[in-house]
Amino acid sequence: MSQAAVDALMLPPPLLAAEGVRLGYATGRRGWFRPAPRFLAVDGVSLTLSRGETLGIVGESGCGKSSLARLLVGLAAPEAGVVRFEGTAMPAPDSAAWRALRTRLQMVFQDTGAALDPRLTVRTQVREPLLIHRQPDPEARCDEVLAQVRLGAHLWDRFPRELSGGQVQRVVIARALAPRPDLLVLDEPVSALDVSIQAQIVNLLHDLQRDLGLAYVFVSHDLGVVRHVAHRVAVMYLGRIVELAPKAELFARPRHPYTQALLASVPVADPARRGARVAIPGDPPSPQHPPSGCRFHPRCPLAVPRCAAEAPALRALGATDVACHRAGEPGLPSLAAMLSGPRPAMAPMSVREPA
Amino acid sequence: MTDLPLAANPAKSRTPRMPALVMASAIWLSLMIWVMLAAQLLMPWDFEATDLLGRMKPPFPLAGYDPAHPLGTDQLGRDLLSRLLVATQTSIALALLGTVLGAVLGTAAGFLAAHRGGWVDEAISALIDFQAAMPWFIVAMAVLAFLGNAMWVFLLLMGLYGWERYARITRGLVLTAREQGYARAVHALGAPPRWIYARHILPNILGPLIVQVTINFPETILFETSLSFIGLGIRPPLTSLGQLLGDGRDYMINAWWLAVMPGGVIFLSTLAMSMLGDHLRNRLDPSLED
Repeated sequence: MSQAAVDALMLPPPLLAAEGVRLGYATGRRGWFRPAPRFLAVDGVSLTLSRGETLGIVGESGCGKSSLARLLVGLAAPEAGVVRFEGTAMPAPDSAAWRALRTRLQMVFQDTGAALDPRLTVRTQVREPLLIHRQPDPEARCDEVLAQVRLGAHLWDRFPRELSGGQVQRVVIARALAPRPDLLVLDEPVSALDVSIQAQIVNLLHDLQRDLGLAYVFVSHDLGVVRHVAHRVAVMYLGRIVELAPKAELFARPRHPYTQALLASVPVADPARRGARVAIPGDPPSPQHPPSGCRFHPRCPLAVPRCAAEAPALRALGATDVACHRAGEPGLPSLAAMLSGPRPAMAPMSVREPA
Repeated sequence: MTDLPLAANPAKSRTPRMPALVMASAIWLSLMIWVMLAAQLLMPWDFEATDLLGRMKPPFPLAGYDPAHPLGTDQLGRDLLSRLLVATQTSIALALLGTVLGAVLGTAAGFLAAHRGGWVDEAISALIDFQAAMPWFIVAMAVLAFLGNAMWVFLLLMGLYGWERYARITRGLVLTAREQGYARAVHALGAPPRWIYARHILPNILGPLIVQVTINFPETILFETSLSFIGLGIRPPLTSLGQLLGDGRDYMINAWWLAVMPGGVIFLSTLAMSMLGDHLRNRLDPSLED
C-alpha cells in the first residue's frame, strides 16, 4: 500500500463536502414543444468544511447563496454533483435516513420573525426536535440548551410575539441546537437585527462554537459580519464561487476583481479612507441569461477576450482559491485603484449577452 | 417582531364584553344542546301517545287550554311540548352530525389536495367546483325519492352538503401555512408531514374552519327541515322540526300553534347560530383584528 493511500485512510473525511453541486429552478411553465425555462442558482460549486470550522458565504442578493445553503444542509437535492456529510452522500430529502440526519445538521432560516409557531410557547418549540427524534429526557435538554443560548428563564414560557427580535433569534438557535448537531447552516442569521443585537448574536455563536465544537456555514451579504465570524470565506457571483480563501488572506489580499470591488464597496467609518470607496459598474446580469465565460466579465475592467470565451476554474494562488484568468499576473492593477480616482476610458460595461 | 411585550399584553387582557344578543344566542343554543341530550327525560308525555278526545288544545295563555299540555295538543291529541322536544332533538342531532361529517370530510379533502398536489389536487378541485355548481337540494330530493329515506342516506346527503366549502378553505389555508417560516423550519427539523399538519398547520387554520362551521350549521338545520317539510326527510313515527311544521301547516286556520311553535324553534336556532358565528368570526379572524 502506498503512503498516499495510507494517508487517505488515516485522514478522516471532512465534516461536509460539496462536489460540483448544481441546483436550478424553473422560471416558467413548460410549453408543448419546449421544456420549462430555468436558471441555475448554483452552478458547479465545490467546497469542504471541517469540524469546528466556520465557512462564510458572501455575495449579492440573487447570487445563489441561500440555494447553496439549502443544498449544504440537504433541504434540496442537487441535480448534479453530490453533498457528502462525513463522507456519506446526503440522502434524498424526506427519506427516513434524511430525517434521522436532521439531528446532525440543522438550519437557521433567514426570516426569524416567522420561524416560530405563533401559537406555541418557547419551551414547546425548543422541545419539538427532541420529541420528533424521540430523544431521551426532552425537558432537561430543552432547559439546558435555553440556558446555553443565554435566554432569561422568565421568557421560557412566553409566546413568540412577546419576545424581541434578538430573543426570537436565540430561541431559533436553541431549537436548532437541541438535538446536538455537528453543523449549523445559518442563512442571514443577523441581517434583520439591530447592530447592537447583531453583535450579541455573533458573540453567542462564537461562544457556542468554542464550547460545543460546532461547525457553521454562515451565509450573509454583510462582509463586516462575516469578517467577525468566519475562518474561511467563499465569495459567490451568479451561482459560482469566484474566490475561496482564509479570512485574513481574503481581506488582506483579495485576488478576484469582484472580491476587490466588494471589499472596496464596504462603507468604512474612517473619513481618511472614504475616497477609496468604489461601486462596481453595471448591474448583476440576469441569472436566467448568464454571460458566457467568466460571469463577471461584462462588469470587469480587467476583462480580456479570453474571459468572455472560457469560464475560469478555481485554482490555487497562495492560500487562496480563485476563479479568474488574470489573477496573479505580475503588475496587474487592483480593481479598486482603477475604479477610484480619474476614470480610465473603459468600454461600456452594461453589455448584457444572452447565453 | 415589532410587538413589545408591553404593547401586546393590554390587548390580550382586554376581553371585549359579549354583546347581549350574542349572550342570548349562546343561552338559547345551550338550551338546544340540552334538549338534544335529554329530550326523553324532559318530555312530560310520550310524544306518540294520542288522545282523540283532547285534540287541538290551545297553548297556555289561550282560553280553553289544558294545564297538562302547556303548549297544547295536535290533531291527534298528542302533547305538542313532548313532540317539540323530540323533534328538536332529532333536528339538532342530525344537523350536528351532518355538519361534523361535512367539516371532517371537507377538511380532509382540502389537506389531501394541498399535500399531494398534482393530479390529486386537480381532481379534488374539480370535485369542489362540481359540488358547488350542483343544486344540492334538488339532488337530495331526487336521491331520497329514488333510494327511499333510510337514515344513513339522509345523513350522508347532509354530510355532503357544504363539504366543498371546507375543502376549498382548507386547501388554500394549508398551501399558505405550509410556506410560513415555522412550517418550513419544523420540516427542516426532520418532522414528517403528519406531524407538521397536526401540530402546526391545523391549529393555526382552525379559526376560519370554526367560523365556517357556524355558517354551515344553520344551513344544515334548514336543509334537514326543508326536506322533512316536503315529506322526504324524517317520516313518522320519528319526528323532526321540519316535519312538525309541514304537518301543522294543514291546521293553520284553527290551530296555528302547531306550525308556529316548530317554526319558531327553527328560526331562533338558526338565528342564534348565525349571531354566535358572526361574533366568533370577529374574534377569530386575524384579518379583522385592530
